[in-house]
Amino acid sequence: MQYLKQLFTIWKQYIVTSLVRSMEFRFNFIAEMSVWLVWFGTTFLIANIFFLHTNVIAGWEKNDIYILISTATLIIQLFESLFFEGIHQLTFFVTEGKMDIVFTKPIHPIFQLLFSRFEVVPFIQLFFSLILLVLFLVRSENTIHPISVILYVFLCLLAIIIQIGIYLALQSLAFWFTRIENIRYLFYSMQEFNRTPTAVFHRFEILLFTIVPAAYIGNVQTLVLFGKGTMQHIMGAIIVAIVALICGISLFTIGARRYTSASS
Amino acid sequence: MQQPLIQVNNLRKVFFVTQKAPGVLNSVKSIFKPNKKEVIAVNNVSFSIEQGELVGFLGPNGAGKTTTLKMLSGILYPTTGKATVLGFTPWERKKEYQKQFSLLMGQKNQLWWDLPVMDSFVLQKVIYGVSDRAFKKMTDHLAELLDVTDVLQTQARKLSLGQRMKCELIAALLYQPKVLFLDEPTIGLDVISQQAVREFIREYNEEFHTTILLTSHYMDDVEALCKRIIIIDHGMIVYDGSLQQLRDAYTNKKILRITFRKAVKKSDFTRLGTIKKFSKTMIELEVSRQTHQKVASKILHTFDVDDILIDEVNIEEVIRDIFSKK
Repeated sequence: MQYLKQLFTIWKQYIVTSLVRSMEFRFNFIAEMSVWLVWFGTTFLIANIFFLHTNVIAGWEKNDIYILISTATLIIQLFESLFFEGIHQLTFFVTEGKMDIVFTKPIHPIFQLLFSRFEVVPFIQLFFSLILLVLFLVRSENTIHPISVILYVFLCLLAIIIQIGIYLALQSLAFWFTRIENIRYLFYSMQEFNRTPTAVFHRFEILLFTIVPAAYIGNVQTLVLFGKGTMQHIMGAIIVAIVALICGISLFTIGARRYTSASS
Repeated sequence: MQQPLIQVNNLRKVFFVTQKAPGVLNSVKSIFKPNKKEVIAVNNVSFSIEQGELVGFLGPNGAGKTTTLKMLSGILYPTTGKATVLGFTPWERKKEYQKQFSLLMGQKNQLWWDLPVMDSFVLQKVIYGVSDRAFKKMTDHLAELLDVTDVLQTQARKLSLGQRMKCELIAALLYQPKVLFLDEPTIGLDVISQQAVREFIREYNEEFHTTILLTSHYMDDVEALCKRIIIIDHGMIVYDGSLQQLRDAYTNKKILRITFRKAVKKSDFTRLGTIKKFSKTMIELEVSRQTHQKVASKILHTFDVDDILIDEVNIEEVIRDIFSKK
């Protein structure tokens, strides 16, 4: 219990340190927000264009798609604000030998990577997504039950764990292949599927529930919110989250033994 | 009999490095058939260090000094061998051990680059569980000793190298570790900063009886701080003993590097010292420590000197001498 309390104190300090750091770069903050607002707006615009020619796509109406986009973006922004940049450092730390510092600190290295970087811009962005989500839910013709909301939140947390596990596993490959920072594009590619109903992929849909589990980062949450989620979806999300986390932690732990540092 | 604080037994570390000839074709070949070479960085090294000792760990580039420190810090796993520091096996990375030692690397920083130094100290305080009172007392004391009180609110990236190194020292020491590993702490610093850092390390060792293992290329670091030194070459210990014996035998020399505006004769210098290098307008002369100033003065008065540099005997020469005598 004492140890958990200490970890929480350290996490709070990491957040404070990250906030102070981001305020040192005000113009970067403005630039990042501006670019993201344009991109976010474009995502809705493209969805709108599809619905100029039809009312329903694979059983999803326009407002349903908007809810899906908002949900997927909310989950991604939460992951990016709390964990992405921290895990992303791993390849650079391995290449440049900065894991030396990480391995000498009296906190687990995975904790340091996960929690040492808090990004303000995605955190603010997720509030945009949340506001839009609520707006679209109010407009929605679907009845939202309280149990659905609880399951929705639970599945969003599982989606975060899935992303942590997958990205940690990908970044841990740096212990074997050194310069591998472009692997983040593989991760970004997965995210492209998050905002699309999986039903449009027909016979390839199963891949999005297994090998590339993008279905659990937006689709499943939205279906559950509409009362269309199944026990299979929920159990699938739990299993994928556990498997992803085990893969991430295992690859990191095995890789850490191979770490050879870098010359000064 | 008390156990040594640091006990190293037959520590060995082998790396496999990929080697590749230059050119695009060789790069393509390397993808399919990489050429791996075995490098024995540390080769059955054994030594022990008692509490409170300040030991110099010397050797040329690539000797295995930093690799040894990294194993004792738990950063690297050894290939074979054992070591204990404070009763812990370092590469098990137990929290209880990590809270009691500190590693300072001259060419790597733990301060957050974009933040005022004090913010990094506060983070360090939280990570190591230092109380507010102890933190304030230690930070104020160390900052005053190192004369950096005025720069603690400045971003690390805006500090000079000397100031940054002093702040790194504070970050490494504010939780009062029992063991301190210093990897080339004065590298790249100007003469005044080097002296300040050395004096600080000596005073800190005296005040807190911290056990310190220091690696350096600079004999001035070792002379100022260490009664005992361990010399390592090609991964093996070639000398472990008092500095006094080493100094008497090998380092009673200075090197004079002089360039002249006009051509000179080699024969003019044979009685002044041992000629290491000679060309018509340049000479490298080895002279004794006691007479180097007199010799330099004589050369300056006798010849038309363009530039003169007085330097230490290269540590690699000292080690080669020791090794060849072994």
